Amino acid sequence: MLFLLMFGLVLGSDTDIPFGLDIPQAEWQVGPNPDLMCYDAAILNEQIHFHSINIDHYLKIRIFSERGKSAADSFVLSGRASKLEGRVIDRSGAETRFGKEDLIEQLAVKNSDRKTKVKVLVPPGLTADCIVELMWSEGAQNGLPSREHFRQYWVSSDFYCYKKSFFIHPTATRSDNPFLSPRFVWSGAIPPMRQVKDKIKGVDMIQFENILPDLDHPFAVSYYDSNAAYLLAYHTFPNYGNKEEEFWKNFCSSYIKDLFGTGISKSGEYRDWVKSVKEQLPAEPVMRLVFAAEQFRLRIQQEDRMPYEKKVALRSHNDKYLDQKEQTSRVFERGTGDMYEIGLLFYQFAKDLDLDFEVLFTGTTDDPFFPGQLNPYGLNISYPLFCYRKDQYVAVMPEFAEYNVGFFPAVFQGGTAIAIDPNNKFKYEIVSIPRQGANSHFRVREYAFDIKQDGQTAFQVQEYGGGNIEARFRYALIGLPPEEQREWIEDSWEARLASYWDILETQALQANALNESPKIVVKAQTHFDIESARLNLAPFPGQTFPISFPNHFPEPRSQPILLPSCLNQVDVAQIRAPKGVQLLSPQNWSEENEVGKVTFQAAEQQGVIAVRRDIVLKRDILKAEELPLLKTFLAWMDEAAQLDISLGFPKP
Amino acid sequence: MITLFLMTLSLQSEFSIPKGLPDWALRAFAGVDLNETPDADIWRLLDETVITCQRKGQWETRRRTVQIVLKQKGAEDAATYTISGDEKASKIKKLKGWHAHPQKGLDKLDKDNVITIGKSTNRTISFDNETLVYFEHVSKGSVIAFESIERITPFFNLSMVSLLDESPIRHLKIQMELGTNPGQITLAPMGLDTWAIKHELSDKQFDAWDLPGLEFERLTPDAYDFYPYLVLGFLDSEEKGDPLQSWDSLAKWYASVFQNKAFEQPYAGTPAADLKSLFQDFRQRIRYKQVYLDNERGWVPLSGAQIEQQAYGDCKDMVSCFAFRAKPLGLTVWPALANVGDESPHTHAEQRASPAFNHLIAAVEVADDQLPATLQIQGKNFLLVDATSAYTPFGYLPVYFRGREVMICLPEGAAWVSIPEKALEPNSVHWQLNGSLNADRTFEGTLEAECIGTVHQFRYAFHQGGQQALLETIRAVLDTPGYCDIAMQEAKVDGDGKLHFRLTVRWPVFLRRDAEGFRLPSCVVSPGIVTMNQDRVAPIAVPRQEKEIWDLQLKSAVALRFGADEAQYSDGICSYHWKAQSGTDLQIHFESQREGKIFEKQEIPDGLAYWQKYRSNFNAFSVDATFAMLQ
Repeated sequence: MLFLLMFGLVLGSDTDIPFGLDIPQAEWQVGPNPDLMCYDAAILNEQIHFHSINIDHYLKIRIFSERGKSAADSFVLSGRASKLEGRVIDRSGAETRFGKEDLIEQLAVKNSDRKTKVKVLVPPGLTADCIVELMWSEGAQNGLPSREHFRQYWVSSDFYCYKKSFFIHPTATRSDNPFLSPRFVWSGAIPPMRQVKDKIKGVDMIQFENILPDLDHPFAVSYYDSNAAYLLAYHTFPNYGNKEEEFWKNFCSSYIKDLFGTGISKSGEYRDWVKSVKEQLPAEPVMRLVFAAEQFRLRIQQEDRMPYEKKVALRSHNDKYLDQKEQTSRVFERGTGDMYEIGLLFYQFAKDLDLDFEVLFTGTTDDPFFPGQLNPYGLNISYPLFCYRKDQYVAVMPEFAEYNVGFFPAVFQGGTAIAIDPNNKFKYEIVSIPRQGANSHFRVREYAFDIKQDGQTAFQVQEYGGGNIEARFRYALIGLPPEEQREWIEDSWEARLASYWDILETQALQANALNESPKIVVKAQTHFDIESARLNLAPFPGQTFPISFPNHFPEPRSQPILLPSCLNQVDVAQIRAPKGVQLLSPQNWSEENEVGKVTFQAAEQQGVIAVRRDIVLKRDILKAEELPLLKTFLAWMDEAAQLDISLGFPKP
Repeated sequence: MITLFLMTLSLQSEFSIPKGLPDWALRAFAGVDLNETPDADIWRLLDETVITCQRKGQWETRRRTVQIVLKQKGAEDAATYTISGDEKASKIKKLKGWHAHPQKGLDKLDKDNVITIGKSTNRTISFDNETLVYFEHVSKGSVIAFESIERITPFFNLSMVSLLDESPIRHLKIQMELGTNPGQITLAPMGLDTWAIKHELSDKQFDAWDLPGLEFERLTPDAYDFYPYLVLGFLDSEEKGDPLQSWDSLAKWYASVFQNKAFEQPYAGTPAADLKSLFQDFRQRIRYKQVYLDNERGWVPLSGAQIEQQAYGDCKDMVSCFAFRAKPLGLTVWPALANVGDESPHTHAEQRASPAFNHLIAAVEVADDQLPATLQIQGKNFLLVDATSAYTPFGYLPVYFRGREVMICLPEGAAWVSIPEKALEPNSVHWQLNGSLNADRTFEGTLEAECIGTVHQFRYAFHQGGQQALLETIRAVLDTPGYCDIAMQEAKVDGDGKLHFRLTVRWPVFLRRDAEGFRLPSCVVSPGIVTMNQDRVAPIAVPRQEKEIWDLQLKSAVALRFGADEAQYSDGICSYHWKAQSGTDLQIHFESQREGKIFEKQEIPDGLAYWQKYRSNFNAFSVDATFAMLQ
């Protein structure tokens, strides 16, 4: 009833900003509504008007609690904000006006290059029962805020919103730039949110209604939240069309073809190399791609993933000023390239080997690719994947050289990609990239403790891993000289260890070549107070876990649960203690569900106390309904994380 | 010659005197034996400040420091310098730095590594800023010399310097010059004898040597007056009526500032019926917010009418507005200054801290002393009212006035009063947890609480944002893990001002395995009390804990046995009482409380002995009595 009344009053809208009108009674009646998660304050009406050289904003907020004042307590506007006008109307009728003279210009950041300011507004006269209304303008260029080429406007915010509208005025879509023209796309609205679209006097209006507030869900990506509606403004190719199939077809056959298809100047040496590799290619098509990637790695090094001695010997070059064809040829000559160059050269190499392969581009887990948006910024063009996916499947990313062939960063897995066939006129297909499971990634820490009678304790730990973990260690350590490798390890462990441990020594083993698996070694010591002849020891100092422990899971949740990556984690500790010391708390338990497994064992064998903890995260994508299973797994993991070993010392 | 002498000394040490530093930095090494370095991450060889008072109110401050990094873990801290400033009232005239790396040689400060950031937040709009200076590749053995010159216009010509820092300081020097301005220098150190600081003091210069480093120690008092410090400043003896010459002159000046500002425009509203309803209405209408755009606004309030219009203000603005509203009722309101909060120094009639005050409240002349926060001075009754503490019941003062003194500013001078315990509102919380514990040790049931006073900020959260805000605060206070489900069923404040609320809870692994059996969550019983280093340098602050009672009734699927049926302890500062019933109908009662107490520098041995006794008792109790085992 209330809603109908509300919206009845604002229908028949035109495109003018509705500032300064009388406040209808229905707006004063707006108050708390737990079903709509409407607490403290509500946005009655928000409008954003896009023009070519300015963007106008309008906001009307109803405040109905003390805490609700925070919805309008202060506004931080861009340094280029202008034409501010506003008012606060208390329930009693008292009105306080404010304008641009109330803006306080503040320093945001100043360094040797530049000084950035913001303008802050503290509306005067706010009460716990009032309505705040304001409008302002900011400078724009071709429909976007100045100097930006891409801007996402999320519809929902911290407070319940009755109505939020976007107005795209005709001048916004006309561009003075022949290469990049502005485009606006928007999501739909899933109930209970509603969407209304209209064209009024040549102005496109997209309106969202009944917008529930944002909840901060852990392990979530807003894009997959059905409540998360948005409008996207960006600059794009003007002549690729505005239908999905047509746009991507043109994108692949023009932009991508130009980028990759330029070819390289092939020297005699290059031809010899291609010939010799071709002769050794295995029969199976999937293995041919793998072999090619391995051979490529042996010959060409990625600059950020080179061992230290080779890296310091690199000479700087001006090849980036050459045309692309020459530049890519020089990559082969030098034997080194940046990530982008590696991608281009490998493409050429694969073509020259007559391999059956596709080139894929995708977004990332946090910023997925949605083909329907027709947004080229949604793809990571600098990070191509090379893939064979006919009878069998493999994908390689030679630019991420720290990964073993066939492995690549988890952020590129699980989402939508565009797969392009360079052997078939750059035809494309929209595909999905699978995620790798727990048996692909593991992490091991082996601790050895030595405890003396007076409580003086030292430990040594060796840490190593496979899959993602191995790649991460390689990438961090390979380009550093030995003393900086030690420093990196020390910084990382210093932050993780309890303050009572003093690090004595750190070392990186097998960390200077991409075909080696790094091992991290740390030695530390402390002095414990053996109180009441008992010592409680945390057996795995500096421990880490496959996933973090969020402190809150807001409800309701409809979007899927996205965990970083499956993992198999093993911690073992061998504890040598003086004669007569006993393990007071043997443990031997195991808990498991579909999400993961936790096992904990502590036992004494012939004077040595052995502790072992296994944590397996079996799945990394869960449905929202599976949240209780995740919570149970987190509870077991938390229990294992805080479990101390209790040692009894003989009384002197 | 000196250089040769110094270099010979350094041959045997793992640290050496670098080349290329400016002379003043090299002189810091004179007499230093680099074979005998203190056990610290960083050693500050020189910390020199020279302040010249130039024109009226302008100070030019030159700082010079020389630091050597003794341990690799000190490298990060040694690489960064911070200068706090103000867009309007301070300016950095010069910044120079030299970094001598043990292997890589000398590097000068790169201008690209200097960045200034505005420090406004949503709560405080101001022109405060912070300049960060960063040196690259700092490591063990690095020596950094840093020089800065700032011009500052402080509002009052008085400041304080804390003498100790995290790093040990070999030589600290503070020198004051009058420049072109005639006047008088104040240089007053405090706490030097208690701390046995080697020093020399003249009328213009203070030198101290071998100051110990205050490395991280637990449970230290925050207020700087427990540590050695120095009050310094310039008093312009020519200026008549300088408010800082005495408490009386300050009080008289401030009382008149208020009289003038508060009533600048006449009161146009409807007067309240009485003081209590004025108080209640005032606090609903005016919200607390700090906007400091110039130095003067640190002291001079806006007029009462202006605050009415904008509906927000800081503490002095609120007193101004309160006085403005009280006048039509025939009530006289005076400003009362105080230094409050655990981290603030203690200002009283005999001790001038700096800044002297951080808070302002109202002292209302009333007819009788019925209300707890009424104090008598020379036969008159003054009710102390803190306009900023949103929900403190009328007639009480908030807890941050504990152990503090307040200076009421009257036209005839300063009237100091000590805040008695009875003026502070009482605080306690009683929790009741009822439900079932299944074989997996998951708890399902309800959690209720009755809260008196400000304990855990529950009342504040509830008034600010209702059930939603209260629920968020409860989660934070109990530190419930994310996998624990908590939902608010009901919350209300009763006629006596007590807050009651009820929650439903589902808590997986409520009793978790630990070394000695199964442990209750740490919000019910703390898992153990930390130790204190016997070589402790800093005073000991035993933190106050308001009375907290937990009553648990759990129907357990499995029979459990607690370590003890009953345990008690009381030593005059800390006390607790535990009672438990084992079996499948588990019942637990645990209450605990602590008075706050500070063991000052000279009392450290007593403090350590006290703590050791309390700690071993509590830790043994926690393990022996509160753990559950399968029966």
